Amino acid sequence: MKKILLISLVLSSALNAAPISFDFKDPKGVNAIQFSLDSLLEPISGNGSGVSGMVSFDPANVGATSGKIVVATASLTVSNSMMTDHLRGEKWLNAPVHPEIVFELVKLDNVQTSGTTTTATAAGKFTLNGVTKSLTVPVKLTHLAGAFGKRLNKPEIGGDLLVIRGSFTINRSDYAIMAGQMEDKVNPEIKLTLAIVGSAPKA
Amino acid sequence: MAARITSSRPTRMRTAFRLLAAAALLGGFSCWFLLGAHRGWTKNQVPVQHIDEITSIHYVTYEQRFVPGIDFLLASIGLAGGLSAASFFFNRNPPNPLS
Repeated sequence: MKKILLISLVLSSALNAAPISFDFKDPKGVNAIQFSLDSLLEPISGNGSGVSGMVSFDPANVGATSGKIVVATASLTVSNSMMTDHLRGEKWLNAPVHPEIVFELVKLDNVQTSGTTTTATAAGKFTLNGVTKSLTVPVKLTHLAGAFGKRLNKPEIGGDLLVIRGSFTINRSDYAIMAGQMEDKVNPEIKLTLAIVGSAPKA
Repeated sequence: MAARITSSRPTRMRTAFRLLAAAALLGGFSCWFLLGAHRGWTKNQVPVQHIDEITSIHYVTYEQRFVPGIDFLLASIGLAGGLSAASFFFNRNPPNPLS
């Protein structure tokens, strides 16, 4: 009897320690990547709300976090519809040919956890406009255990949330986006900020 | 009688073009000023900030609203200038066919 109890205890703790898969296709549609680049009159700012992807996160071993975040190129929007069309068009991001912007997490370095929050440096591969480059991004991960149902006003549903925040700057010429062109009108540097939430409902 | 009609038509056209130019300039400036005097690019959708309570994520939705910017103002000035310049194609005193 004691053996059975011990085995079940070990099994249950092993199950609890298993990585959790978080789906970043948000049911509330909040997820977006914000971008901003300086231009002649004012910074051109917008967002890409077509976020999806999965991240495997183990609260007991945050360093082993892995996954992929995808943003649909055709979801990138700015305040002016003509600019939006240009942005998605052939000369800039060519959304029909390169429909996805992808960040694939390879590893987390410099992991520091305090309570539910972890800061780290995410090393991964960033694909934009069909060009893939290695990239490191300082990120903050917040694990909100049991908050999935509460967020949907259905507290009876169990499950966790994982919030990922990060900010980084890329040079558009590195990703063959109008390289060396119109730099007097549109800055070559693009600042990207993400604040996204992944859900892991409990069945 | 026919000579009088021919000679007054260019004058009326010139006046009409100048009035249109003034209307474009005044209309463009009024529109820009009354809709917020925005000194950036023209917007046809305006970002509205929200916050998700549980996650504290700030996110943006877009509201369909026209906010003319400096480019709109410059286009109005360009249109007014074009109309004004076009008015000079209509001579004040066309040559008299009888002289």
